Amino acid sequence: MTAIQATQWNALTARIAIFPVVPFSDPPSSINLYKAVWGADPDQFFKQPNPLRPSVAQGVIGGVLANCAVLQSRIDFSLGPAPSNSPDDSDLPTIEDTSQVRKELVKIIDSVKSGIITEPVGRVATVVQFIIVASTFSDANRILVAAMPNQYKITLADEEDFIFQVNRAHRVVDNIRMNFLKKWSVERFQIVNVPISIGPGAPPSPTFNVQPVEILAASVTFDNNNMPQLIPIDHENQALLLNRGLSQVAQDQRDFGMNIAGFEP
Amino acid sequence: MSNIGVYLQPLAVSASSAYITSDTTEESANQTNQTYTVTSPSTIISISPNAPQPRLFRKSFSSLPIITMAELVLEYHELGEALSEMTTLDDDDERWIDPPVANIARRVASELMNGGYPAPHIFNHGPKSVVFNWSRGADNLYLTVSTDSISALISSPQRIKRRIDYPLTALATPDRLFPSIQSAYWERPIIVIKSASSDAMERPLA
Repeated sequence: MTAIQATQWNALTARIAIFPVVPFSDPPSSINLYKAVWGADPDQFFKQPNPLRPSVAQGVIGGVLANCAVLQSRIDFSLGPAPSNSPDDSDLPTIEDTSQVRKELVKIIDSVKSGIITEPVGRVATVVQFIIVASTFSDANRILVAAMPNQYKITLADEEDFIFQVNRAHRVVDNIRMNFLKKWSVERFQIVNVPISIGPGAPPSPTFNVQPVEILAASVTFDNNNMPQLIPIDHENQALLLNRGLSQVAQDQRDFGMNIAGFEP
Repeated sequence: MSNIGVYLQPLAVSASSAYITSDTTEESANQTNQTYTVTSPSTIISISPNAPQPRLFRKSFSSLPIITMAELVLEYHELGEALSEMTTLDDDDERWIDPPVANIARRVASELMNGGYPAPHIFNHGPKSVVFNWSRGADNLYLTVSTDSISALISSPQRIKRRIDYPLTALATPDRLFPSIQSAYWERPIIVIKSASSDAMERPLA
């Protein structure tokens, strides 16, 4: 039996998504939203060339890559692993400090509650994905099955690309129905380095001969969101729904025995 | 490597990217610093020479979509640019459209993109309306958008086969509006796959 490379669930990504009742005719600026949440200028800002393209503000907050992306039909505040100077290009970057993820998600929700988004909102989502890198499909499957509730546990060997998803939807705040999606899956990641040659006097690029690094991971994703509403949800209830989603992540990860720091209920 | 003009540029591969931007470029003597941002609702990855570290991304090896979302989104980006340009022309240019009309057209385009519909061709019909056009064999679907209504016209080379008018309020339920137009165009029931996920490009449960 091959040893499992890691046993700690790390966060790969997390996001708070906000959906307007109708697409924005004049989308809010991602840089203003970023500043409103994190109280600092982003490290990078890409303004929206036209309303069908995103505006993105991005920076590193507390060791986590924080992003605000605004499209006509949604606003995503997302968190990811911050760039590092790791000498090993084959590492799959993750957020080890999951407490920081929880902290930033709470900060975003508090900002939403304070009314940083003035346009009518009909749907919100709290999404978090945790992974453990595995060396083989058997290992990844074993990790996943261990993180499933007893009623869903199945027997897996070395099957590839396992996916299992359930939704325990029910009504919550203000009679709004929420989806509580849980997805167990084995994900394949590919990391590619492409050498390019640019500038006067630069030698020609070497032949395109990329050797991508492939990494397997056991993944558990929580996507807790409400059904779209045609009547706008007020700021207070937006925050209630988002917090309900976040607390359900905490509850579920405990029930699944994932023991994720910072996400204790 | 950059000393000899070859830069190790990390590249992210993402079959599920919802939107991609390629932005800042600063040239120096023998190298170019480029920053690419690959963005999807589940991930945003910043790739820059200042952090010359490859950023992942997910690639689905065992199944391939008919058209990748990245391609679809890029087509809609071009559509958005065309709409923006049409509002900035001189108002005596026959392609010029009123900005309020462009706003409604963008909203329609945004909903079409969210629904995963192929990007249409676009032209105007005077300054007060924008026409989205799809072709299927010899048949055409023209979706005319103005500030107060949406009109779908389906025509063959011989005749107008069908015309359906909707008030602008029909846009409040795009999950019903566009499948109904699609059904009329394809002359058969449309099966819509819905999802409870908040990911992009998945039709929400209504």
